[in-house]
Amino acid sequence: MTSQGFSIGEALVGEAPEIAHIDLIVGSKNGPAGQAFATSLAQPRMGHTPIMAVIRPNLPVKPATLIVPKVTLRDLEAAERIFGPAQSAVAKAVADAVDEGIIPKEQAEELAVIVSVFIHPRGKDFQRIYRYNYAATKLALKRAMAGFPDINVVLEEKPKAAHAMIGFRINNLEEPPYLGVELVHDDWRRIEGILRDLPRRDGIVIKAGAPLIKKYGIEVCQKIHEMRPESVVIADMKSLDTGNLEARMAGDSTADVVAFSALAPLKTQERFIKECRTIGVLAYMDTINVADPLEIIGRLEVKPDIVELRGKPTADMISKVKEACGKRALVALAAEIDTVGAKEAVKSGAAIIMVGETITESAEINRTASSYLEELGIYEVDQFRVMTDF
Amino acid sequence: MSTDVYEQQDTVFHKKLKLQMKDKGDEGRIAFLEDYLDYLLRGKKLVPPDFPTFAREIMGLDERKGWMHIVIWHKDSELVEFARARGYEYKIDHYD
Repeated sequence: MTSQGFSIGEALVGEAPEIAHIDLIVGSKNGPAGQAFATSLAQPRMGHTPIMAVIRPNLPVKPATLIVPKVTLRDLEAAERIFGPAQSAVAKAVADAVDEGIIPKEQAEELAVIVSVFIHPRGKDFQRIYRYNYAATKLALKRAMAGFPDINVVLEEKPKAAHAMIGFRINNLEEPPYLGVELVHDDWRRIEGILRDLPRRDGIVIKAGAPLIKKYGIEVCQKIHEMRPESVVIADMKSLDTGNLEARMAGDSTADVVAFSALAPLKTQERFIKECRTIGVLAYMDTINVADPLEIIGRLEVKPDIVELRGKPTADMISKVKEACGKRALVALAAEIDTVGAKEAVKSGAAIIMVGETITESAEINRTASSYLEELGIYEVDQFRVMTDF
Repeated sequence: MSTDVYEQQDTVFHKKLKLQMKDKGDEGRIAFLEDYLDYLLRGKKLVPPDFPTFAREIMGLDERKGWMHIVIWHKDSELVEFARARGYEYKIDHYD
């Protein structure tokens, strides 16, 4: 492993503000890790001076370990925190990693370790800084030596991951089915009431209807996200021309999915879809008033990510649309259908059941939406597991 | 102290936020709008998309026995949060 290059480890341990975030590389002194070690030591940068980790003064740890501060050190107080408890913790963790067999003892002379250490400027408690950085360094070393994570773990976790600091996960609609709630009102305070009444579940997708966008502008998507950061927001632009510009405007306003009309000229639709790919949002084809959506899809050079069908499409029709758009494509069904109809539609292959007034005009919005979620078997991605460390 | 007279009812029906301005007249209403913007900006909240409409509404509303009646659709709407946070006298009631 290390003779061919270097290994990478990462770990986050503890609580703010002393929380420890360690990134490190372990590799042979004769390879890129050793070269980076020597270069970094020989060329210190202001505020990011690298230092050797030592067990005590005049006793550097083995494998040789260089600590690089992530946050710019602006005063002696900050320097004390990193060169005191943090460096001591890193040195002890590296030594213990050898002692415990995480790093083979026979490689202690051959290897070099570079540890990037984060300490928040508000972190003051030396006990916590020491303990968190010790634990994070040892965990990161263990992960580096084990080649963690396996790529299959990454692929399994990516739709479920929520960053602790942003508090929500980027949802790319990878775990269907979803319940779409279409907001067709043109009164913001009415919309606000609906958004607050809906269950707080990331299985709910919010569609900002065309009247809402026309009245308040596309930035209404951002306000919806402020209120419901966990929800995917579809901007129903119904774009018919200037496809790429409208897709970008919606993306800039934090829409996750942007809708265009299948009635638009093919070139416009293609530019729209390509722009969506460029800015990292999903392209949603609205097939309202289109007699044969499959014919349009077949003529497009690039295919939409989601196709919205109307009425009661057959399972065969849904299957053909998915086949025409690629294996990751989703079919949304826009129809005011009841929970039983919604369940049947999902069985037929629909991934998103788009419901409007049946929910938003309901006497009890929360209960009505919940009944759809229950019938469709939509649960939170983390509902049945306890999130623990690996 | 402000009191919520809201009772749990079907959410399809809108409510009214009865609110007292801290000062009388147009100046009081302008100060109220300024205070609302201040609350949003300091709280790093986005300005609601209907703010221009809301400003016109506030400037044009009748005052009923010292109370402004503002239509809302949720007992915890951003306007109610604002009224609570900035110490306005308010109550929430169902619409007439």
